[in-house]
Amino acid sequence: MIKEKELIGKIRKLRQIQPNRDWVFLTKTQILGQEPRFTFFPYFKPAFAGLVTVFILLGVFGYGFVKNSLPGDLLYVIKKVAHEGQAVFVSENEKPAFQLKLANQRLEDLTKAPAKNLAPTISEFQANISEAAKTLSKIDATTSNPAVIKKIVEETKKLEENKEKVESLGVVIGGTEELENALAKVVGNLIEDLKTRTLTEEKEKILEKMEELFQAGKYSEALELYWINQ
Amino acid sequence: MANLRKIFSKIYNQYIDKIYRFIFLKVNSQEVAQDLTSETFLRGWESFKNGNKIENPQAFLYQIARNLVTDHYREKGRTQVVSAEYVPIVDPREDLEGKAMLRSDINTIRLALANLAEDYQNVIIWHYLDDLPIPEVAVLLNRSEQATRVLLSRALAALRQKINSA
Repeated sequence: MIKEKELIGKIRKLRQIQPNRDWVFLTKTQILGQEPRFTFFPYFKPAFAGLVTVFILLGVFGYGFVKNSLPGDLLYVIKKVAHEGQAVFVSENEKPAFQLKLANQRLEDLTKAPAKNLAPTISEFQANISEAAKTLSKIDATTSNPAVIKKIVEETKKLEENKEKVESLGVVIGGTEELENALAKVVGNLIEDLKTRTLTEEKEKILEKMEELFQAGKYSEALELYWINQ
Repeated sequence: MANLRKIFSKIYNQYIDKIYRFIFLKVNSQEVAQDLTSETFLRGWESFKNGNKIENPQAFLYQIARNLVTDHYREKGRTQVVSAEYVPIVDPREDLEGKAMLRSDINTIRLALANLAEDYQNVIIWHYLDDLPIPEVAVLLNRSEQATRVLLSRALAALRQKINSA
C-alpha cells in the first residue's frame, strides 16, 4: 500500500513535464510580437545589463529591502538578477556549490517567513536544486580541487539542516532526489577511482567506510569523509 | 500598448509551464497540448489588450484552458484516451537507468491521474504540482476551503486506489 508521502512525491515528479523551450519562446513571439530591445552601447551583454540594472535599482530601493525580498516579491527580481549576474563569474566546478548556496538561501527564507510566498520560494528552491544536480553531474570529482569538494560538502550539510528546520515548520518542500542522484554519482566515481589506486592501510579503511556510507545512501557523509582525508 | 505587452509577457512567463502541464495531463498529446496552450494565452492576451480587467490571471487562464479542453473532447465526440507511450520530460539526469525509472514513475502516476474525475485531477494538479495553497485552489474550483480540503483528501484516496490496483 503506497503511503501518502510517497504518493505526493510521485505526483511531484510530474513537474518534469515541461514544454519545449523553443516552442515557449516562439509562441510568445507569435502572440505578443517581438519584444523591443534597447541597446545602450556596443557589446552590451544581457548578463552585464542585469548587473547594471541591479546597481540602478539598488540605488533606488536600497540594499536592505532587496536583500530581504522573497520569491514572489517585486524586489526579488532584482535579487535574482544579481544572483544571475554573479553566476556569470562562477567557474563550472564551483557552480554546484553556488547553486546549493542559493537553495540554502531559499530554505532560510522559508524558516524566516514560512507562510510568505510559499509557492514561488519552493519553486525557486527546486530550480536551484535541479541546477545544482545538473552542474554536479558534470564535474569530475576525482580531479577537482579539494576546496571545491569542501564547499559542496559544507553547502550539502547546511542544506540537510535547513531542510529539517523547514519541514519541522510543517512546510513540504518536495524531494531532493535529483541532488541525491548526482551526489551518488560523484561518490560512486570517487570510490571507483580509489579502488584503482594503491592505498595505505589507513586509506583502505577510509575507502571501506565510504563504501558503507554509499550503500546506506549517506552520500554527503561519504563525500565529507573523502574530503577530510584528502 | 507596450506596457500591456510587458505585463502580459510577465504573466506568460509565470504561467506557461503550469498551463501547458495542466493541459498536457488532460489531452495526453504534446501537439494538442501546444495548440491548446497557445490558444489559451492568445485568448488571454486578446481579452487583456481589449481592456478587460483581469483580477486573477491564474484563475482566468486556467478557466480558458479548462474550457478549451472541454471543447476539444466535445468536438467530434472525442473520448479521453491515455497512452503509456511517450511523455516529453525535461530531465537533467544523464544516467539511462535513472531516466528510465523516472519515466516509469511518471507514466504510472500520469495514467492513474488521467483516470480520475476532472475535479479530482484539478485539485491534485493545483495543490501538489503547482503548490497552490488551499485558499487559492478553492477560488479556482469555486468551492469553500473546507469543501476543497475534503475534495483533495478524496482525490488522493482515489489516486492511491488507482495506483494500487494498477
